[in-house]
Parts: sequence; C-alpha cells; structure tokens
Amino acid sequence: MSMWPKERRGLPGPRGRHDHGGDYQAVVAAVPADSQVVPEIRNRPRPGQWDPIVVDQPAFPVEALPSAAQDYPDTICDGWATPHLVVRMASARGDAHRHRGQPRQDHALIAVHPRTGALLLAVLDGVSAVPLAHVGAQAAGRAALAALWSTLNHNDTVDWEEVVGAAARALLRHHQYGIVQGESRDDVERRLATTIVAGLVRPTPDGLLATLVRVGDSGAWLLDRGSYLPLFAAKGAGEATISGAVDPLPRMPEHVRPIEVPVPRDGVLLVATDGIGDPLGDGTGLVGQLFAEVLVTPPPLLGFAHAVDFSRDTFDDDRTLVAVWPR
Amino acid sequence: MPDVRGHLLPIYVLADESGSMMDQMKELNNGLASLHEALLGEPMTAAKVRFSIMGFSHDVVLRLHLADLRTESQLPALVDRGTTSYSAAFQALLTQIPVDVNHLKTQRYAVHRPAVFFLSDGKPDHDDRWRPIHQSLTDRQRTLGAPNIIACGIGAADPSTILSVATQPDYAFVAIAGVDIGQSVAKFCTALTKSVIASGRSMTEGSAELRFDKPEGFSMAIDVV
Repeated sequence: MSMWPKERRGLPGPRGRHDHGGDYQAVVAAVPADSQVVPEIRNRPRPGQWDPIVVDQPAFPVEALPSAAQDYPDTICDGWATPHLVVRMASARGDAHRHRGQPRQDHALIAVHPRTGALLLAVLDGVSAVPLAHVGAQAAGRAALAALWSTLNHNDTVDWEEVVGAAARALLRHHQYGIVQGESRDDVERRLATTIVAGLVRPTPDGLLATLVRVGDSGAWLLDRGSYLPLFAAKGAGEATISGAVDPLPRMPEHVRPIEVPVPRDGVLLVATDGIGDPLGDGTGLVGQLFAEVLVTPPPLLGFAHAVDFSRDTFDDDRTLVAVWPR
Repeated sequence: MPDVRGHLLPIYVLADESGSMMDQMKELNNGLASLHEALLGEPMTAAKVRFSIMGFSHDVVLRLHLADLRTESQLPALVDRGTTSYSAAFQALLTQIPVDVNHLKTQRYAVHRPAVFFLSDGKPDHDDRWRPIHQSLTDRQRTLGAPNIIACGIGAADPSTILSVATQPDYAFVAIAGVDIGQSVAKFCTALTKSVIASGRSMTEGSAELRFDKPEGFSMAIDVV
C-alpha cells in the first residue's frame, strides 16, 4: 500500500513563472494514509510468542546471513542475580548487518566483583564506518572491565581516566590492528573506533549507586514509574537535523567526568547503544512503552533479548541493552 | 525527541530542464528509472530515504515530492523546456526544504541534513543573481535543513560556477570536455544511485555522511577552474 495518496504524488504542477523563482509556492506533502492509523505494538511479549515484536510499522523482514568474522555471534545475552541486584544484558545484530552478513559491532560485558559485590559493565558501539569496529568494541570492553576489576581489587576509589585510558590503549596496542611505526592514533581510529559506556553499580547501605563514564553517543537512563530520565545529554539535543558524527575511542575526551546516580528502589538502570537510544527517544513513545512494560520485573534472559530485537521500520542498527534492578 | 518513527534522509534531485537538455532527457529519465529499480532492491536503504525531483528552467516544477520509493510504481519524467535560472532553482529549494523538514518532524521522524544533487548543462541566466539565494539556502544558521549540495556540470556548464554551487569543493564535478554528454548524464545517474544507497546505509553506520564518488568521465571542478 502506498504511503502517499495518489493525487498528491509529486505532481503539483508548475508553481512559478518568473526567473527569480520568487513565485514558487511550497508544497506541503500529504500526510501519509497510514499515519491516520494509531501506532501500536503488535506481537507483544508473552510466553510462547517468538515472532518479532512489531512497534508501529515493521522493518523489512530479512534473513540473517552468517557473518564472515569468527567469534561474533548474532546475539549474546547474559543475566543473573546477586543479593543486591538483578541484571540482564543483550546485544543483538541489527537487520542491516544481518542482511549484509556483517558482524555485530555492538558489544557488552557484565561481571560482578567478588570483594565489593559491585556490578561492572561496559556497553560498546563499534563505529560502523570503520572496517574492524567489531574487533575494537570487544577489545575496548575487555580492557575497561579489566581495569575496573583490577582497581577494585585494591581500593574502592576508581580512577576513571585510567579506565577510559585502558580502553583506548587496548585499541592503540592491539596485537594485530594497533598502531604501527609511522602511524598516528587517527589511523587506529580509522580501523577500530568504538564508543563506550563503562561503569559500576555498587551496593550501599542506601541502595544501589551507579557510576558511569562514556565516550561517544551511547546512553544511560533511569526508568522509574514509566518515565525515562536520561543520565547523559541526549544525542543531537536541540539540533534541527540529526547527525551521526561521534568522537569515539581511541580518542580521549579532554576530561573524563563520571556521573554518579542512586538507582531508586523501584527503578531500573538502563545502559544502551544508540540502536536502542534512537528509537527510544525521550521514552514517551511506543518503544518507551514496550520497555516500561517488559522491564517491570526482570524478564527471562531470552525474553529480554527478544524485546531488544523488536522490529520497527528504518531502525536496523545493532542494539545493546543492559538493565539493572535493585533487590 | 519524543517517539521517533524513523530516521530519514531527504534527497532532492535538482535537474536542469532547459531546452539545451533536450537531447539528454531520455538518458536522464532512464537514469532515474534505474535509480528507482536499484532502490527497490535495497528496501532497508529505501526505507530511510524520502526522494524528491525538481526540474528547473526559467521556473521550477516539483515532479516528485518526499516519495518513499518502495511504494512508487514509476517515477515522473523530466521534460525539456525554457531557459536556465539558477535563482529560480535555489529559491524553490529555499522555500521547499524547510517546509519538508518541518513536515517530516511533525510526522515524528528524525531528519538528517537534506542532500541535493544538482545537474546543469548551462550557465545561469542573469549572471550572479542566484548567489545570495544560494547563500541563504546553505546557511545553517538561517535555514532549517540547509542542505549539502553535490553539483555536476555538463556541456556548457562553467566549472567555477559549479564549484560555487557545491557546498564543499569535493562535491563539485564537471564532465570532461569532449565526452559525449548523454554518456555523462548516464554516468551522473549511476553515481547518484550509488550515492543514494551509500548515504542511506551510512545513516545506519552512524556516520550519516553524504557520499558521492566522482562519476566516470567527470573531473573535480576545482581541478578545472
């Protein structure tokens, strides 16, 4: 079915006859017929329902092709509980990469630190314009988590500059694709660039306390009673048109400033790549509604991954989400 | 931004329909039909593009408007007519693009900076009257959705003018002298098709770069000026 009524399909006729063009009258496009239909969520999550969850208009259905890269599964998910929290993580290849047989360039890691009981996390979005973004995302994530782990082994104060620096160095010193003689950091960025949100969620006497740093445009939110509170500045906030430009690792920000936020007793901490953040927007739409419903309580692991892999037209980027509930 | 229905890249083909293009119209229309066919084979990319065709001569006709090419059965034809008014062409864009960006945003789409593909075979009427209009059009502080412009000149088009039309030097191309003009139009359309697909894909890749490789048989205008 056409989105555009036939009579308005680009044939408005001549609009002006002066060589200044000043008589040109703007044509207001017809509102697509399907916009009269109230958007809805279809194939809602429920036991035994494994068709894609459709938000508004579905994405073009694709058959996932195998990735040429080894050790980069289409989807990974993880999750467990400690005495203080429950965590779910899923990282799914986007339809664009599935369609082209390219690897998932998002990545995520979660771990619990034994001495402190802190949840360590890293969420990464390899910059697709570079050829080895999937390698960079995994290398930076491992390095950030290792730096956090190592720090907490010895003291409770984290040097966040060092955590981000460790992730950047993991790219610059990558055994196969790191910097070689005669190259600059920019050359490595052109091979391995990735965004990162790294952090930890510590149990305290007053509840969970999250501390996060980021490089790039991935995001974090507190989901509290159906509302999404962004913990980082929204991507492209205040811009008339959107841009995909990003300052990724191994580029180091001028200042690494962690944010610290308590997780409300009834809230959920969310950390996600823009594959989730873009369709989520400010959370007041259908994608926000979907996750507000799905995350009321920690869903089963595969149910969580199923929700992350929802279908909506034009949103075909890789998607990664980590969700943390206090206990 | 509230609920986002999708990310879109508005693309405008601004093509010279002046009488001197008469012999090139068949190639141009065939090229656009091929572009349409190629996009139908790339439905995920096509989903992210809204495609408009404007034909300009002494005035401007909007022949296709914010079309989702997945749902179009056939593209309208460009028609040779009149003289070459760049001021009419850029005034039409200056009038139309902010309305279109607002419309798409009202429809709850997030909109990438529009891309204009400009093709002309002649020198503009009335010398430099178009320049202040073009300046307003491309002023990102003043014009909502001020576009990136890729400019290709064929035939009698002046390289320095084409260079001024493009929003950056590596977006300006002129056909190599002596190359068959019909072939130049066909090569422009091939490069346009590749660019639309690559630019649509790059939105997924987080770069949202407007990509355009030099068409075969063209030179960078800056190398000719």
